[in-house]
Amino acid sequence: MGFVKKKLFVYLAGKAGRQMNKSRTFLFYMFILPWLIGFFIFTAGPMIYSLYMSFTDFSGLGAANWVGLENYKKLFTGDPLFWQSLWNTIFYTIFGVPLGLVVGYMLAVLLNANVKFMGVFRTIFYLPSLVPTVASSLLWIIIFQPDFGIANAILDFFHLPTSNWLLSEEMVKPSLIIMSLWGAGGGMVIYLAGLQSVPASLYEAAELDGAGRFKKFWHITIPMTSNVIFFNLIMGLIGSFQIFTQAYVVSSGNGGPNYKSLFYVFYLYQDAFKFFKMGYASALAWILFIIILIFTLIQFKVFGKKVYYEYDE
Amino acid sequence: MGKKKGLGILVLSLILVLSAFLTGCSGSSSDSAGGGDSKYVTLRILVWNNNPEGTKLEGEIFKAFEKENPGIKVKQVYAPYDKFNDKFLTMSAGGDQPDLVWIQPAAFGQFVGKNVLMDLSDKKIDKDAYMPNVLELGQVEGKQFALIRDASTFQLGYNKDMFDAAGVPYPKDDWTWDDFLAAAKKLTKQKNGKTVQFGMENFYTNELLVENGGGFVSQDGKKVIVDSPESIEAIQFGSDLINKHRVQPTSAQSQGLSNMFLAGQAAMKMMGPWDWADTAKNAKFKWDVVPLPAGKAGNVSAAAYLPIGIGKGTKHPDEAFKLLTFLSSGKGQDMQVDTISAVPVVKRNADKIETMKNAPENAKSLAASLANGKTVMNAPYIPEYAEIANKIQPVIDNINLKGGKDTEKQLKKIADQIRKEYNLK
Repeated sequence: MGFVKKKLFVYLAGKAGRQMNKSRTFLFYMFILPWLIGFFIFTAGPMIYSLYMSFTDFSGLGAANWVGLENYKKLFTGDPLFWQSLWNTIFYTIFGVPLGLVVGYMLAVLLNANVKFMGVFRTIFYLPSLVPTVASSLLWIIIFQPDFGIANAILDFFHLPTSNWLLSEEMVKPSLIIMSLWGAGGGMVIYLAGLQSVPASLYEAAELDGAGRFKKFWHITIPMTSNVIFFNLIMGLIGSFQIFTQAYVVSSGNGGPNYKSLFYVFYLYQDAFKFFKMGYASALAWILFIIILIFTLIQFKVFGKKVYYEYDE
Repeated sequence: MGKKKGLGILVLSLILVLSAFLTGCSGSSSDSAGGGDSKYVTLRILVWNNNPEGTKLEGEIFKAFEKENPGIKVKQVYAPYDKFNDKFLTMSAGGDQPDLVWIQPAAFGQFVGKNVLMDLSDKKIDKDAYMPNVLELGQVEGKQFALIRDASTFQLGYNKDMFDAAGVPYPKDDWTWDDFLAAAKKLTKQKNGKTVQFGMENFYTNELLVENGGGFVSQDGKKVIVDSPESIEAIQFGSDLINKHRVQPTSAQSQGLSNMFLAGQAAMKMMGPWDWADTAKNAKFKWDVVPLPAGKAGNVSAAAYLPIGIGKGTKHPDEAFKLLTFLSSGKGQDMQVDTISAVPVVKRNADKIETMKNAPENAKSLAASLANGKTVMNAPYIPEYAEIANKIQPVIDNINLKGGKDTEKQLKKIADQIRKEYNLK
């Protein structure tokens, strides 16, 4: 959300900020007070509380005893499922996020063309991302059903090798990635908005210089929409690290087969609400927070400077 | 500067207020939703569904209790069997604990360990009413944390029509794994390379382990035994039924199908008396039951019993205990025989097993198994057991899925991991 931060900064540090008198400052805080209260009670407060809990053996049901770094020590040294779930999640993210970006972007480019009934096509491709995850996951279970599912039926028709999909150790994660692409429409609408804000004059100028379709796409479309791509990349990565619902539904809550669909947040959930090790689960949550933070910072560092913002001075 | 300081103080005070609020929350006592009507005490009992028919009949017992105790209402709260323990613990943590709760033996130790059940040791329990060894099933380290409502075991239900059609003689009470496999093979039918009738629906790993003298963890909760030779053999046998002999569907073949036995797609099924009412009503074929086939440990099966506990946070402990007594030694014991075919635990009804409602012809074999001590307890009452079982099961699922070529290796691996993680032998 780089641009929000920048805007806020400009606003606070700029002229407007300096001219604010006391009563306006008061007014400002009064206006954002509802949000502030909500933020502290529902977000910051519980976060601080969970940080404290991560150093205890809190079960959610009784008193919490201080155990120091014990939870963190066990995570890194005595818990194979922590590493398994982390690997599952990273695998899912590394392949799923870029694929989702490309598919969403390609859809948006296609749906940005000027043809009849475009509204209908846009609706069709956007609709799947509105279906609740549980419902779509149940649907995919039937699609991937090895015996009578449509996925194997199609492969069979073309005499291609079939798969056990969600019931196979090797294929369960790729299957979930395929499922995630079905919801690429969510990112698509954001790309679409970005694509439509690219000034036509740039294309006209490029055409005069003799640029072809591909060159225009590569040198104008992509750079001019880099801010939405970057936004989708970061949000996609954060979302992907927190994958839970789909995996929970397709593995009926146990992360099978053989823990290959036990993602990080899924394991965190099991520790918290199945085994009631709230302290341990809190430690897991904070490790995830740090991992996501690091990944996001890396992305800002690597791509941040290459991103184009309209309002940059 | 002044502005900044003001903001700082604001933030700080908010955090302080918040932390006080949160500590207050976690410390406050739980509060059960008793219902707004002050004339009635409403007891909530958390239960799972065995089958649609059983659930319907279950309600009649509660109605009888309400009739006997005006002023008390009973409300059943449902949770699916495999999410049941999570639900109870979450309700307990959230201060919304049900007054009574059905307990799965495998989770009993966990519940007691988490301190969510009321200690019933000094309540007035009619100890003489029960059959031998029943009270002990509800005790952890000498303390009574639950009373038992029914104590039974799994048997094998079989489709007589299918046996007749395949020319296989009906199984005898003392049959073995070899007999079972031979019958299952003859009862499995293929059409165009696809299996259209399976010999067995799903042989529970748990029962295979018991029949062969194996298990996950020893009953005293001190030793991991899932990699003992008996356990390995049992798990291998289970995997072979699916992958080698193909008499039982793979999870792919059965995904999305429920009750293949009733649907006429499988000739045999694990069945307890709680399934009788449903089977009697819905089976379109002749059926009967038989004890589980014998592995190395003989014709034994896991003790399947239903402990019922009282939530520690209940606001109506006396009423809750009244209901518990009604169910486990009172009139409920007489009623359950004639409605849900739940095996009674009181002495006075010991001879009623064979004549329970919907009892199949060979119900006497169930009475004999129970009377002759052919049931084995295999759920240690240690706090970690639910967690351990939860970690072993996916490994077994995977062995069943992949054909069990390295069963021993996989079991040794998970067993060592469990030993290390939970400090067991």
